[in-house]
Amino acid sequence: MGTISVNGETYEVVAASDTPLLWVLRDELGLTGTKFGCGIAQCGVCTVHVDGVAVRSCQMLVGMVGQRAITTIEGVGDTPVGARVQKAWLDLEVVQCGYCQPGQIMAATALLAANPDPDDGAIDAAMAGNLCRCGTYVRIREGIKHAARP
Amino acid sequence: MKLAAVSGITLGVSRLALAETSAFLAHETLPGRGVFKPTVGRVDGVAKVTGAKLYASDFRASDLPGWPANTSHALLVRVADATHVYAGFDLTRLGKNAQPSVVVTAEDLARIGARAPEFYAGDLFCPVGKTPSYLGQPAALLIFETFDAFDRARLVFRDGDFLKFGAETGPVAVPNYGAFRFTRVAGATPDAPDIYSPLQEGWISPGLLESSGRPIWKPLPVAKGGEYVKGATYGEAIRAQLAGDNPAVLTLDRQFETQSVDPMFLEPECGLAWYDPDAANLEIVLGVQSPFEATEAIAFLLGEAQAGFKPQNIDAQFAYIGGGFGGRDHTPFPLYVALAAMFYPGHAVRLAHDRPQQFQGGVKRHAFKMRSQIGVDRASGKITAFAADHVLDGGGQMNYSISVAVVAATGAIGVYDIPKVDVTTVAVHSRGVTAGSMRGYGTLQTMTALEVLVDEAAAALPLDPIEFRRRNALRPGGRTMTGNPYSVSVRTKEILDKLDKHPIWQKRADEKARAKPGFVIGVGVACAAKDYGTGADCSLGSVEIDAEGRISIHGDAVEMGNGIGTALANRAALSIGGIADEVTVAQVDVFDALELMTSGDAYTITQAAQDEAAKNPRWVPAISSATSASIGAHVGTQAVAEAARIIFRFGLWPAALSLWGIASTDPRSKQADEAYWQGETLIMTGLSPLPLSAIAAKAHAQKGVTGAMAHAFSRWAWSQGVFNIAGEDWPADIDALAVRHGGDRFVRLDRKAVAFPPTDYNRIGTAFSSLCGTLVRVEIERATGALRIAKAYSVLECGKVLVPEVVLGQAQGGFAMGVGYALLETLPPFEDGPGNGQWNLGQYLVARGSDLPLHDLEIEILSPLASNEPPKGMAEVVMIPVVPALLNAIFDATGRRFQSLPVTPEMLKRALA
Repeated sequence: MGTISVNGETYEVVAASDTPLLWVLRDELGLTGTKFGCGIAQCGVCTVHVDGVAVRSCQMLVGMVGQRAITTIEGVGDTPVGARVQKAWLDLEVVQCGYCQPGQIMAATALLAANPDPDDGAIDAAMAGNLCRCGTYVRIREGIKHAARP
Repeated sequence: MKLAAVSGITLGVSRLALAETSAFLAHETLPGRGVFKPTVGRVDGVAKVTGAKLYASDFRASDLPGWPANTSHALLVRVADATHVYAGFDLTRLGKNAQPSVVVTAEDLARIGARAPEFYAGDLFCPVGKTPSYLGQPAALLIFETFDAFDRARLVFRDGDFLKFGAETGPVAVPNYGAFRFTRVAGATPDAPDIYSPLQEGWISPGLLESSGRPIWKPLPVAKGGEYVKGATYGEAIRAQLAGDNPAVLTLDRQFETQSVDPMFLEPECGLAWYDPDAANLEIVLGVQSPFEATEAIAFLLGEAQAGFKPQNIDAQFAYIGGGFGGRDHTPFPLYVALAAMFYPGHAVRLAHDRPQQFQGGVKRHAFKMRSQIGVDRASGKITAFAADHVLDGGGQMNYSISVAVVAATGAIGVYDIPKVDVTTVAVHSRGVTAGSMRGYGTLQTMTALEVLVDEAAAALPLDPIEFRRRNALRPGGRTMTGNPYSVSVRTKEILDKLDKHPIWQKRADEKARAKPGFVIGVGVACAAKDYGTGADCSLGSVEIDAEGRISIHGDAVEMGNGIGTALANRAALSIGGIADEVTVAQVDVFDALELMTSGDAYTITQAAQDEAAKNPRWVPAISSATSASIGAHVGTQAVAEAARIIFRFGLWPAALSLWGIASTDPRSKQADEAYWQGETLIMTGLSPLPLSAIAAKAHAQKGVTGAMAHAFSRWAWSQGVFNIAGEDWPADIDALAVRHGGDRFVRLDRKAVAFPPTDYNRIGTAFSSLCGTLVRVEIERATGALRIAKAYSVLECGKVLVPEVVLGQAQGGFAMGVGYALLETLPPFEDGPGNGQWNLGQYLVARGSDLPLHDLEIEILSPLASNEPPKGMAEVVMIPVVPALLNAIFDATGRRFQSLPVTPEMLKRALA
């Protein structure tokens, strides 16, 4: 199909351009930190950044990415905000089963990059599409605030 | 490793050691960068926040050493029709680019001689010419060489026209899965023996059925055996008492219905397998709560298969699981993963549900229909009698239905002491998706109905709801409805006192009066007691300490978000000071040195058979059991805890004595119990503190015990073994032990004596229980019915808290799941439900952060009664009272007492209209 940029690296993609980005990340590039949950953008576990904006990679076709920069959970720790969010997640022991947490961290990082000091309403709006069946929501919100004011 | 042999197949069960370790280290980028052991927090925290390869769905064949380079993909085609004869399928519907390389059907299973394990009895694939016995029953397994072909086929199946059906037959009639009656009539005083109880008389089932298959509960004469007649006669007398017209007694008779819901763990079931025909070796990667069971089931499936389909070895590897909540405990999914590999030899095949497939094929929570009757003495406010009738929809396969029915029935009187109880329960087959294990199974349904009923009774007396509960609360030593007392702490009164004094309760009238125009406010309370353990729980664990003081722990429990690895590290640290440098979970293959063997069924074995079997020092009633979050602390850490005690007593303590220069004749050498750890420093009054590293070095130098591995078994009490260690008889709550001296290999120690829990304990129902109470304040908008949880408080007791952050997290998560169950989640039965293959998360609502009082959820964990009180399971009980507390709050706000779930905004809007 062409090349895409993921976590600062350029990858040649074999998959057809109508393949969801999530499949390319997981099955072609081996970046399995981004998860599959529903395939219809309702759970948020597949969240990645495209030019810093949180998107659901299950709904974005790889052909739509172009040369925009993709960041996944494997690379977000290299950004200052992403590293802060991951540290907050560890400090507050947010994770339980952990499966949704890459998506939560990506959504939270995009939020804080755009809004360094979000209020509860902004957090709710940004995180509403990210499900956690373990119910770690209390700590996710605390984690975002912790990362905002380290 | 050679764990066991089933049908001549050797089984190996292990963790994804190589692949996981590599990925884990490669992604360790955060505090503690490059350091394996986090200084604080969960042992799996770093891996989980950095996207490490941890879950079964993350692995492809190329990740696994020695596997083929490429991964093929399998699709499990399931029926969405269970009322017509299945007539096969038409592959041309898939088109040229989506053709499978291999197709597996019922005919193929019959041809090779595959057998369905008893737990999954029935047709693994619906044969052509039969009506499917349930919606979602598999019809075929299709294996595709390429991902592209697989994905195209997957989308074609979504339209539901791939499978063909013939004549209409209606649903298949299948006998009920099980029916029981639990009746107890207490003696005249609390200390007097029961007049009748399940513990005394055994569990009873009606022997006669109506033509519909429903049990006949009346005590009709039977040809042989009078057990049922005797129990049912007492039961009917209780019902007659409840039906009597006695003005001194308040009697309520209510119906309550609960819905089917999905565990909805976010990682759909997934597996990867490869059959190497040259070596006759089946490699399989899975993510399940029951690794040992999954491996045994696969071995049974293929145990009598024809040549080429019966592996000589099964090497199963288990990954972390992306949520479980019971729904990954004993599911048939691993069988299909294995079949995919066996029918495509030489290829690595991945079988992964997408979300609609998970809805269609994953086990569900049982829907219940309940009738409950309660009698209360108006003068004293004491409950005099309780009767209930439960009907569970078990769906298409039996799975855990009998266990759910029993747990539900024996939990039906919650935290209360009721002298006369009669509960009937029947789990029925339906054409719905199979129901099985899910967090809080059975008791969530029956205690919700009970706590709503209790609230209504309190209002009718009238009596303060907490005071009414207090008057009827089970006290320590009080008997449950099976006739046995709990063998653990019972702290009902403390829980109720905490609820009573809480501001949410104390200020409820003020808050109600302050409701904004257009809104109503209500406060609800509820309590629950939840059993933990299954009556046949196993724990395998080992602890090793090297000469530098580094600690390794291995356990067989599965990490499912419950923090079991962290709990293992913390429980061992109580004895040996240090937090483990390495913790691995879902392991069975490191316990070879114990040379365990088993026979019989731990639930049904006779006392004589157990006594005979126990003469073999390697025999245990069961080897390994499934993990659930609620038994993680109590069961999952037991073997490791005992192993750590042994290392301290026979390795570290003698080494410390040497370092202190204390001779064995010195009285202080016998005072090991007085030493304690401050971090990794051993403290003994009057002696110099010793660092763990120095003690470990000395222990190795003098060939003390530096490693111990153990097996523990609980049937509502731990097996107790005596082992000769260093010339001393050491009693411990384990039944198998191997130890390592210095840097030597592990050597099994024959037990000198063992006492397995009596087989009669199988009648108990439960002996372990934790308590939780919840208060919620809700605010409901009249115009829309929108409900907001303004404040909530849960108070629980769980003995020794091993990892406070994990316990708190489970309580917060349980609250969220309770909110979803009460207000959001539902799956219709049958054709409109998940069995139609169309359900996804756009339709199925679970709790989100915005549904919860994130700033206003207070959790209080009571301190243990004593410093040595063992940990108790708590991950289920924290969910249960949330549901009835919400319903009771809704009643307080609206005056409407809902008797079914979920309560939606539309229902609330109508109630307030």
